[in-house]
Amino acid sequence: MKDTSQPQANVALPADVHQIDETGMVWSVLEEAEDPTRVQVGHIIVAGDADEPFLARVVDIVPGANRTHIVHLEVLGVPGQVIDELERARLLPAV
Amino acid sequence: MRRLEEYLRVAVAVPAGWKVVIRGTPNTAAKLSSSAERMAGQYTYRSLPCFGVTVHVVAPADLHRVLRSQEYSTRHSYGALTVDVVRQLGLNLLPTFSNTDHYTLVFDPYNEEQVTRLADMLEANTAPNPHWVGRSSR
Repeated sequence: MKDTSQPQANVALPADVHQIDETGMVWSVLEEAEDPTRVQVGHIIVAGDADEPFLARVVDIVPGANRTHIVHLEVLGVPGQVIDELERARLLPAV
Repeated sequence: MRRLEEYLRVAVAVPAGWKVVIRGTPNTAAKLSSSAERMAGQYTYRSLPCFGVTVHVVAPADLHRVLRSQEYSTRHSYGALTVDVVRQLGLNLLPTFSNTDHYTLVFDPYNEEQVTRLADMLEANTAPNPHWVGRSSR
């Protein structure tokens, strides 16, 4: 079941992984980011919420309503997948 | 603001027994509200801010296809309700955007009671996602 031993994640961009628009991609609002400079096109970020974050690539950032900006995300998986792979590659110490 | 009406697909009759699948747990009222308010900040429906959340409506036989998707596989569990239960809650189910499974569940009116009722129903109908890509230990 869910890993509850990890500390709460500080996501770069709050997002709902199911919130998809006409592009077929997950979208969120740049202005919800605590530090918008962490959210740049091409970057891989941790998005979602503190309970169940996900990894995503920022595909584009386009104008939204009321002077906001819509961020489109390509969902890549969950952070644990990357940590596992980095450990196997010996780029992170195994825990 | 964008009009959600511009993104409606042609409505098809949805059999009442079909499942409504919505996000992984926890399905708290706070998380549903957060998503609904984000939607309302960008879209209108019937000329008013659209307080809605995304759901996927699928036949029971197609449930695993959705749970295996890149988005759902990041959720360790999911809440599922039948279409008739959602309708009994008084929620509008709109076929939106291009993915034929994609629907927007509109709160009308949007208030704490409606959101909490949906959250409670989802929490009561939660099951593990067998296609979750996370780690089971550590």
